[in-house]
Amino acid sequence: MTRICVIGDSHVGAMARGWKKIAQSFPDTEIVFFAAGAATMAGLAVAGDALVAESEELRQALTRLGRPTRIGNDFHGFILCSMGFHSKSAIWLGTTHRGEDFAADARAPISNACFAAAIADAQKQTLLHATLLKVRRVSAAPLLIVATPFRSVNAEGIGGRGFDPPRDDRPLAALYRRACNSIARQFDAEFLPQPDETLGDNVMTTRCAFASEVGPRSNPDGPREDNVHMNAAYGAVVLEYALETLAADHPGMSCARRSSQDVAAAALAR
Amino acid sequence: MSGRSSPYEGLPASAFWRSGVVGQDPAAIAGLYRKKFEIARTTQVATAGSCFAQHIARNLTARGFCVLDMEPAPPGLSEESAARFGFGLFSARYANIYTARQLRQVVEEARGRFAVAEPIWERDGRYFDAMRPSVEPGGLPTPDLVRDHRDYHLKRVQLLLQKAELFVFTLGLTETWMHTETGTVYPTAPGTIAGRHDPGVYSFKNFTAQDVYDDLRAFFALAREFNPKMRFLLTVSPVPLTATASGEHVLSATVYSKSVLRAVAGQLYHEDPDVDYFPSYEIITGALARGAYFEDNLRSVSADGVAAAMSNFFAEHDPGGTPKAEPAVKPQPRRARKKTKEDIVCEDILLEAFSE
Repeated sequence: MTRICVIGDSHVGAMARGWKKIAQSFPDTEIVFFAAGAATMAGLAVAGDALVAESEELRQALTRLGRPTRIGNDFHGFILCSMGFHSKSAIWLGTTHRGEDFAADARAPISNACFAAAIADAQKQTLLHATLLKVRRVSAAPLLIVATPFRSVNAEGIGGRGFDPPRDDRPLAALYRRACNSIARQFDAEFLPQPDETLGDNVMTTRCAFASEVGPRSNPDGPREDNVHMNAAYGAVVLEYALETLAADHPGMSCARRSSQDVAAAALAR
Repeated sequence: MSGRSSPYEGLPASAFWRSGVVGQDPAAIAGLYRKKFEIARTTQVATAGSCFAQHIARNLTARGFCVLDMEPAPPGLSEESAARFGFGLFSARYANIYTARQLRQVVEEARGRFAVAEPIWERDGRYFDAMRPSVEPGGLPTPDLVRDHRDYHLKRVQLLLQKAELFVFTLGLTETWMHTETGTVYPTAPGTIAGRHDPGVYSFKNFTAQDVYDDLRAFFALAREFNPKMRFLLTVSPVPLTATASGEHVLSATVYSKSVLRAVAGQLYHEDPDVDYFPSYEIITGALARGAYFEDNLRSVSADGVAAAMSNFFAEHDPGGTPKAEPAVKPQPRRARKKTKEDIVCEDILLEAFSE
């Protein structure tokens, strides 16, 4: 059995939901989700050869969520998710500066190297980066970085929340990926780009079909669209991609998808 | 009848080596620098020059003076990365301007009166702005992009000169490399960062005091076309030459360069009421410092040296003030932040996901 630990913030919710949809196709894989609100996750600390919820706030949050409060170093792989590691800094940068392949306009021109360095430096200020440092102190296991999903574009998303992905979406996406890759390399990790099938026409956005709804627990007036968090379908796509990437890059890990016939045969054998 | 009085009688202590230098605190040398005019916190200050000018800009900013930055670093870029790409060092992204001729050139170019010869240098299939090859250390993929970047830069220099009320320039060198046919000078020797040294195209030039004087006078005139009330503060960089192509010993070449620059700065200070001179060169290199203000390489100015120079400067321009010690590039908000309503909503999302 391959044991994978997913560490992250609220965006892990989509993955947890997605996992319920696809887990049966990965019978040799166990996933432990270790997640809490982004601000709370700062309370994660290294204690010997494990990561523990050091702050009372994180301990309480994990207990409320039914999650473990300790992450040992016995996982075969880690997936770090979101925790401030998002495209916002790249999009903001694209409003004031242009890279080599952008439309020539009044924005300040800079090299792609400079553009990617600015994105990477901003990502180094995130909680995910801080968590990467902690994970690498306890484990050298394969590690994937999954960024916060691009916002899903809908009427409210574009006009109502000040989200305006620039028109240079493709060169911007390439620089964003280059910057994220550079950070991953520093930790002997891999950056998992957002799967193509989840992207909108503007490749710095997520297709509306993957947008979540804020449920009644958070919104007493009833469900409403949430263009920040994604749904179970999105989580399933990302987790599948992540597990297949781990299996492909690390042949010793038995976390590859198995066909329904394989799953049935394995169940019968048990 | 009194005896013959010496013209030195009655002069202040600062006029005599023994009382003016020996035993003085290098960070507070009495009477060494007396400001010629006020620099208010609202005065819009432009900076340019060689490496040492960066210290002046940084310290002025830290004290809350209004140092212009017409090409600010891209948001997110760390201070270290910003410096690597030529941001946050001077008031525009022109990189080090070592000679008065180079300063004159960039302002003439911004005014549309000068065209750089051989403006684009190549290295390994990448292209560099010959006038500031260090700002994009990896170069750009096409010559057109180099032109595009330079056009933008020159527009920002124009804007800088329109806004600036005080221009601080640190004179660095007299030695340069020149496009022989046209007289264009470059900040680095062709072939050092990019380009190729062709003795048939480029030649070495060591400016005279008259050259430097003419270039600075021309620069003042050009700058005053943008802002007739512009004032100037000159300093001479105490940093010795890394190397000389003059044929002289590098020590002699350094003393020649610095002496020329110091002499011209002094002459302009005495001639023009709107030109001040700040003696950072004397503070760092003078006998009073006993060489202690240089790092082990006897070239880089130590932090103590910079502090001593700036202490003398601010004793006149900001007595009693203290630096705010704010980094040049503000870091992004990070990590441990207060729990917000959004965080509570985020936890609810997880609760729903895990409880399904």
